[in-house]
Amino acid sequence: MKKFVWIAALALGLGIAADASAIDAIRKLGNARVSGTVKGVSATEVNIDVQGTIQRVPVNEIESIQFEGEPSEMNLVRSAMKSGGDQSALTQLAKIKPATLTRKEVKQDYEFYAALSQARLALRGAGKIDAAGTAIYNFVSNNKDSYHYFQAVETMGDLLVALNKVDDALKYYAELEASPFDDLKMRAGVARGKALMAQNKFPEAQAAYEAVLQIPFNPMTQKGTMAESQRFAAVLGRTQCQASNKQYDEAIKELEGNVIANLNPEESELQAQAYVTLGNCYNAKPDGKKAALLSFLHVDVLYATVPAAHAEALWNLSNLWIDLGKNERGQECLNRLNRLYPGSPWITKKRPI
Amino acid sequence: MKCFGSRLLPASLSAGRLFSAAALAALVAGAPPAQAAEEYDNFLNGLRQRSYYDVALDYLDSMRNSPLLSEEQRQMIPFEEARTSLEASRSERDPIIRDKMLDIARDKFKDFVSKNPEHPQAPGAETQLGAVLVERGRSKVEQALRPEFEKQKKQLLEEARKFYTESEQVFKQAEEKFAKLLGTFPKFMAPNDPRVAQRERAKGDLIQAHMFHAYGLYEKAKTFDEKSAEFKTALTTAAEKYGAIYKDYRTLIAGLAARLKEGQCYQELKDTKRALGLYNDLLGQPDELKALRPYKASAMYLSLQCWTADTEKLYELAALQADEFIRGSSNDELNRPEWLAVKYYGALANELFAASFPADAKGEELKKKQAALDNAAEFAESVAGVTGEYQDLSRALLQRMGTQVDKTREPRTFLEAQNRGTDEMGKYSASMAEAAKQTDAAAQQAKLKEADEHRNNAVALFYKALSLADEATSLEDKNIVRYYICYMKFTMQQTYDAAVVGEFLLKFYPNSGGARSAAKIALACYVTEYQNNQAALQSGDANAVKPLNPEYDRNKMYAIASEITKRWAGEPEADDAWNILLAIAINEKNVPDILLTLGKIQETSEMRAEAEMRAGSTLWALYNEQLSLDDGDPSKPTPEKLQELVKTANEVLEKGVERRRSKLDAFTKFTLPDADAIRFLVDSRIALGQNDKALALLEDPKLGLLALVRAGATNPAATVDPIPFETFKLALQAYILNGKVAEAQKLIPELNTLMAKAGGDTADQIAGTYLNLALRLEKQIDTNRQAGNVEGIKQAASGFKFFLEQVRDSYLVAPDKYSALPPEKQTMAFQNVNWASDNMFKLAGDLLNQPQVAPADKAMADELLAASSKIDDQLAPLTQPNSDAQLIVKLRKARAMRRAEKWADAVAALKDVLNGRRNLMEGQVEAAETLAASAVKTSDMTAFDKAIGGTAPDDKGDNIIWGWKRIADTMRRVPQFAVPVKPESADQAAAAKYAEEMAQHQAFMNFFHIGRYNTALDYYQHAMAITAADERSKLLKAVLYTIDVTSGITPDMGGPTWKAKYDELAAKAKKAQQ
Repeated sequence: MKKFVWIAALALGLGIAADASAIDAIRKLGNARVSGTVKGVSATEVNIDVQGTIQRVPVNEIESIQFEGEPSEMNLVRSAMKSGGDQSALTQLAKIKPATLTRKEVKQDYEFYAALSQARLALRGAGKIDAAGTAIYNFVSNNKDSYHYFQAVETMGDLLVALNKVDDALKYYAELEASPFDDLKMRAGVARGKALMAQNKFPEAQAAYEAVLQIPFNPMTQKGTMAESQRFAAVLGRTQCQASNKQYDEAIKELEGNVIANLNPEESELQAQAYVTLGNCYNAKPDGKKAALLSFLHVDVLYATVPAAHAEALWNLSNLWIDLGKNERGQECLNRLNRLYPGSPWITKKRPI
Repeated sequence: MKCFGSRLLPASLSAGRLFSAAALAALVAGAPPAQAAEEYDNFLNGLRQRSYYDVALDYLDSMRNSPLLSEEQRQMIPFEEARTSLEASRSERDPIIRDKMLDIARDKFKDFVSKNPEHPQAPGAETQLGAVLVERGRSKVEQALRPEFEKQKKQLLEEARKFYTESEQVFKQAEEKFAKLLGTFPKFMAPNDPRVAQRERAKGDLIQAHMFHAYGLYEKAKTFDEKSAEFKTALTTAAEKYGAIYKDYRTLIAGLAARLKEGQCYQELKDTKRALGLYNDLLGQPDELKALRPYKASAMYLSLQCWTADTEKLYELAALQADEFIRGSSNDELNRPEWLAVKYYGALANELFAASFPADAKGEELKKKQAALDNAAEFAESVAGVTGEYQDLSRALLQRMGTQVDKTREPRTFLEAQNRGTDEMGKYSASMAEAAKQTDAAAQQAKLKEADEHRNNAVALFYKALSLADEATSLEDKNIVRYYICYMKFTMQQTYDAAVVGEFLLKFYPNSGGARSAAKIALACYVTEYQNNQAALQSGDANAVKPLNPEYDRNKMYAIASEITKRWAGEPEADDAWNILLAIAINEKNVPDILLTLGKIQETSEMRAEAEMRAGSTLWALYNEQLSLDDGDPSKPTPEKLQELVKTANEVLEKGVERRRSKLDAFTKFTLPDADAIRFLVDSRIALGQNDKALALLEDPKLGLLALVRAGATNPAATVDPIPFETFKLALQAYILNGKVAEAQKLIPELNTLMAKAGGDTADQIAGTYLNLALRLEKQIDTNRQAGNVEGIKQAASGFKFFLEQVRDSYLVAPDKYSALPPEKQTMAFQNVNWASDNMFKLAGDLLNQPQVAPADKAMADELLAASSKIDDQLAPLTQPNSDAQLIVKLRKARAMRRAEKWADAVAALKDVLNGRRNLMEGQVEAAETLAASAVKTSDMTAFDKAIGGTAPDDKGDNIIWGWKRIADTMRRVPQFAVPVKPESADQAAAAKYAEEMAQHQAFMNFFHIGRYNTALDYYQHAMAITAADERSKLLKAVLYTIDVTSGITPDMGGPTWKAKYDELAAKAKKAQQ
């Protein structure tokens, strides 16, 4: 299943040349590879010498980079992170001694993956946000020339939102928005919208999403790209604002008629959020419990790999099952919520009266 | 008839998975199914995997017209609905709901096929109909094996067989169809030939049909006794079928799955050698093919069963094979159900192998023995900790091996505690059964004490089990334990404890296996407490514990019944609950509750008719009870309320009896409650004036009580006393009220015969009957009189007359017979006959007092008056001369004569009365009125003079009949004519005396004015009756003079009423003078 992948280096780890240590290899989005010697790395591009010719690869086209001389565990790290196994990634990273890392880019990879794993664990309730925030902050402060920079900036913003420091988060998103890439601008706009929603500033959030939708986009040439995903994310965000504004029918129409109908089923994260939003909209309507149930069940059955959405879905499912007289199913959902997401805020959220 | 391992076959072999196109493809292709990428399919399958069948059906319904689906997917929706319902039926424990699901599945498959006959899935859907039949058969077999269906076991198994047989036909037809279709494809086709997919589908359909067919044959065998020839034949047939499938498809997983089942068939036929040979075909398959591993594991444990069977006893071989297989399996396989079975049977094999060594084994033998024991323990331990079918068996094995499970130690898992609790519960039941058989009191007590201990242990263990439950413990198991607690507590009469648990299951887990029974227990508990509390409240025993909140249990009863209705609306549980509450309401005669609880019992319920009849009968009885209260009784309801009650009773009885009609197609089917309800209905119709309907019901060919009573010999139970007697009474009344006197009279001989058969003083009973019937009609007529309803009186008149005559004939006897009666009987006879005469007289008066008297009414009135007079003539001699009783009789006769316009007779009678009692003012007034009336009617003007001046002089020339003037003069002369002096003091005695004197004064004044006014009136009437002017003028002057004089004597003219009359008369006289 194709997961949406950021520009971070998340290589599959399979099918790479037998002698991985001999050259640098950039894996681009769409699986194309560029092998050569990395000559320069910045926050916006990577320069690679391919048989004497310098190719400039923009960072938003890079999936991952395998560096000459890096420890073999790094492949496993990338592989684990790509499939959501952040804890496994940390386990692999623990096997690497940082002192043995000599090459700057490899050290940056090491530091970045460690910080990112912690951050993703923390964001889904399985780790400490403060510690993760420190790690990311340190990376962002000290590695402005890394090709991971913008992703680190976005993650920093996400952690600050989780810590309810939204104004600070917006500053980081503003930096992302200042990048030269439209798809990163879109990401920034979507992140900004989410942050504003966290502050219940729905009109501003909606404006942020509308701004994303104004960024130039070619549906023919950009189909299946991150830009398309971000547009859907913006539409989704807009419907979430509509829902917050009690415009449930409009939100439902948009979600069912546009977002879910046209979104690639493999865009798990967005699909999950779309169904959670849809479920919340239906749940707010007096006769919408069954439709809400089906919406949340989509997340539980199809998109359980998206932790935040899955936790919210499980909580809602437990309440809906009880409302519909199926207490045993409600209890089972609560049990799974407790077991799978022990630190999730949904565990302590009270059942609505 | 349990088939070893049938539940542990790999998922692809259970019927449900065979439906899946993907799984089918796997069976056909021998490779794992390709991933279906469509979200709709994934979601639907995901819901089914979670057993969220209800949600899956809702989802399908919601997607029916969704633009998100392709046309192909939309077409398949009925198919998916059918498939979902069929899968759902397998996990449904409630047989009623399971059958409903199978009905839905069948209907949906049929619907799909009929609407899409050309669809590629249509043939498969037809095969599924056969699968539905197989499931129905399995459902019947499951039911047959349950202890509560022991009596119906044979019938259920026969029904199951029918379903299997029917399914065989479906599968045979499907096989023929698919085989034919498959034959149309060329043997060799290019891989890119578009017909390849069709051929594969046809092949898949054919294999599916074969597998279902074989499965149905296999299941059918379970409907026969294991020792019977039919069982052997059926299983052999199934084995051959499976064998044929293997032969044709040995390279596919389906073929290997069939081989496994074939082996199982022979194993169940005790042909272990053959079975082992067949299992070996699977065991020899390579391990690399992952999809085959579960089949191999199944083959292994089945082989272990065979090797360790008494017919083989190849323990060492079994132990070695088990060891090799288990140790060669991967970790993620070892906890799968098939491997748990391998481990258990492997442990068993090792145990048996170890036991085959002598007790004093030494050296190499001892080593082998110890190794076997170690292996056995290792395998058993690994299974004993896993919840499932083999957990207990493994524990038992460990116990046998010497790892004793101490029964006094605390259980360590939920399942252990549950199992031990269930054991104790079984021992409790057994002890109770034994106690019931004991004839010796001491022995019985001992058994009861034993039962008590087991019960206490059971409850403690069940609570322990709940405390040990963890996330892995299934909710269904927890709820079963809760139900056991509820039941045990109920038997311990800890009613509130039991009720709490029962209510918990009802509210939160109504679909759990014990919920319905638990709900009934909860209701029973609150009913018990309610009744106990009511008894305490009403006992009057100062020491009885009174409830603090008497309404609590009552409210809970109703709440539980409502909850039951909410959960199981339309099902017997709901109706049962309300029926129980109805019985309580009936017992309490609580009308609102009776109507409420009755209304909650479904109209379509079998018990509704009987409930209505019970309720209606109670309301009718209540009506009669309240009607018979004295009018002055403050607890007697108003006439309006009584009317409402009788209408309600009637309505309820009408519905109940009508509902019952269809069941009562022969008199032999009547019950006593039926007869009672029908007679109450007749009676209530009469009370409501629906006399024709009452008679119609009595004479109804199906429900008619007259016919029932006459055919009483065919149904003695429904015609016990007082049914016959009451029926005839009702019939008498109904005939009379419908004016069919002749038919009523025809009943009398039957009634007499009935009375004679019943024995006792029949004459008295009959007389009492007529009197009671007459009294009932009198009440009715009195009510009409008060309401001024003459028509109502007339309707009842002929009937009333009939009964009054019967009363007369029953009680009036010749003087010599009368004097021979004991005093109390004399009194009763006199009173009853006097009453009859009086009522005849009054009834005549009602008829004659109409503004316009129709000839028929006049005729009846004359008859009544004559009859009354005749009675009075016979009564008078029975009384003491000049006694009050005689005076009453004679005076009535005189009045009757007057009403009958027999003037001379009337005056003579009055003369007779007044002769002995001149001062009888009533008589004097009656006489003067009679004379005046006769003057008006006969135009004999001298009668006016006599009315005014008196007549009938005695020996001394004194008029026996005084006339108006003397009446008034006499009144004027008595001391009471003067107004009494009001006492000045507030003395109570003086005040009382004054009040009495005033009452007397007013009575005398009244008579005075009667005399004076009627004097004036008669003058006037005389004046108006003549034409001679002088005479007329004179008389008119006399009118005014009389009035004038009266005003001089009593200036207030006797008060406003009299004054108005005087004034009116004076005005008329003055006008006539002009």
